Amino acid sequence: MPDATRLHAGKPAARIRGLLRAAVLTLAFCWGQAVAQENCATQCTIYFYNPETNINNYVSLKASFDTYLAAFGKNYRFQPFDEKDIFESVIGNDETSIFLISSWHYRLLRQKLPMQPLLVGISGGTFEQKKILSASRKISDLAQLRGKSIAVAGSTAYSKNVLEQIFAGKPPELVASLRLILVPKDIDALMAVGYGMAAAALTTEKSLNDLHALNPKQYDLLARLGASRASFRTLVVAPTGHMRAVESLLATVERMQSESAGADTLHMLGLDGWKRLTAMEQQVLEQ
Amino acid sequence: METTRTLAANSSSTARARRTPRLRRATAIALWLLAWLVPWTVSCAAPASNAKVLILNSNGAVKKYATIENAFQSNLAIPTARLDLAGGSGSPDALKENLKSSDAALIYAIGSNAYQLASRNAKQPIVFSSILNWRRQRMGDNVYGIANELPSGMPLSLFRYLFPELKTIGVLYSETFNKEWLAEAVGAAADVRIELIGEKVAAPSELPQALARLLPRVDALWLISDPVVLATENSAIELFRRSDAGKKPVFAYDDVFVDLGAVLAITADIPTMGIQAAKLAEDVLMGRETPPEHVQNPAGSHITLHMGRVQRYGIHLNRQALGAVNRVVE
Repeated sequence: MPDATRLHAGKPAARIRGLLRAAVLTLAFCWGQAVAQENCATQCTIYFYNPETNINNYVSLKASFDTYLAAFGKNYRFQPFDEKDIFESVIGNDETSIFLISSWHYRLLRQKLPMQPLLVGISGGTFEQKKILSASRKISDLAQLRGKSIAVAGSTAYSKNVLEQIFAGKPPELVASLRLILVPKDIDALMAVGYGMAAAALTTEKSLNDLHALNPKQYDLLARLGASRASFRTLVVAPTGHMRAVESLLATVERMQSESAGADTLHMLGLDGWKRLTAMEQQVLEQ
Repeated sequence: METTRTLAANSSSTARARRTPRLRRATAIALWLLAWLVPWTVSCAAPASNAKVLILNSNGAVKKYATIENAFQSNLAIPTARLDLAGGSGSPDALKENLKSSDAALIYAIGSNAYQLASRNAKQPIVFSSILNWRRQRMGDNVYGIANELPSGMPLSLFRYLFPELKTIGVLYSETFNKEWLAEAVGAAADVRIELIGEKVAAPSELPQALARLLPRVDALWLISDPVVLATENSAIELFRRSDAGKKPVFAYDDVFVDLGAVLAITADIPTMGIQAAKLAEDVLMGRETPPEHVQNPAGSHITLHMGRVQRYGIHLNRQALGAVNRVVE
């Protein structure tokens, strides 16, 4: 108090000048921050983690994404992850970012982080996909898969979740007895059945159709034993209340299919393009 | 008997004071018997479920050997020990003694050196991987493995997937090493509507003439592992020089050839082979059904694609198939 009294009584003009200087500095700092965020002056990142594929082409994917993004913003970057836990720990701290994730992962994440799905990937004209369990023709029933090897191209956790859907109503120990062989891609999983390395394969319907067109003899060795529920393809998700800077990054992602470099990058993700999610589709994802 | 006497004494309340030390002794004996019997009973139900696997690595400093060992260990729920033949595991004699006296229930041999050491000195079942041309190795009844080469139908299907307009592919081969392989590959190529044209090379000196005959007849050249065709590094350089001059893309069986000029390399995926080896080791140890042929094909492929050369040679690429490519080189 004595100090305050002295300051107040002795140097009023100096105090006012000090307050004004502080106010100006604060304003300047806030304005700088706002501009930085709007223009992604620091960095705006697309974080990617996909448990639906095991292809691990991250170096090529990053190079391709970064090349495409560089034409639209010098501070845009793409960051892929192969570890779910590390991905989740990083995205929780970054509001100037968007995430490319599977709808399965979105449903797990939205309980931990406030986020909003905005775009969904399209392939072959559809934004939904089913996973098909195809087995060697010697196997005619799910029960015959007890203890057998299943070739999968997704993460173990994701693949088990899908298999539980397909084996719904069957004894739980039947699913638990399945032995997963992780392969890099769907086409490997399907051929692993044809060449006798696995009893069955869990893949997308599109991959099965590709095999049909590619190698009808291998396709004929397979029988469909079951299918998962339909799920949305890869989502583009932004933190709830995301910054304006993220809007321009979103627009850059949304127009990927109309640029040749962007279209090739999308193909590396197994997609042809993006579409905006409708309110109804967003509701479906919240269920 | 001790147990019976104790139980009998239990019925008499007057013997309580005498019974207590006897009961304690009997309980101790029963527990000792139980401790001895339970593991024996469990091991009868699931033979060797607590067995150890000895990993014998030809050279842990080689990246592909280290990768396959990691994948193997991460996918095996059985304790392991390891010996690295190139990593100071002792003299050759000490290694042999180590193997002979090992109490491991199974040996996992990575690479040819490790396999040969194991097959000569170990009595246990062996699972192998990372051996080039495993058919040239001596194989016992107790030997299982993962081949290093993809079945010919897998790369051929992937050629068709990536380059749907390809009609003819040429292969240089020696009858000594690849006659049977070619016959099988021609059939697999027909399944994906590709005509596979083989050109025999009887000696390394015949390579230029064989190339001159083959290249004009094909859309692309498929380089396979053949010691007569690829006798020296110069043979490979010459092959790529002539193919490039004829504007014919070369598809290879190893990533190393992408540096020399290959458009595409399709190899077996190494971590997948490690996973397969782990499952096979478990099957052998648990007495599960194993494949009758003992050696499995690799289940995963790894694709490297050189985009610049795709454009240079003007071959039509199915861009939808880019999602199947592991590494894109610009």
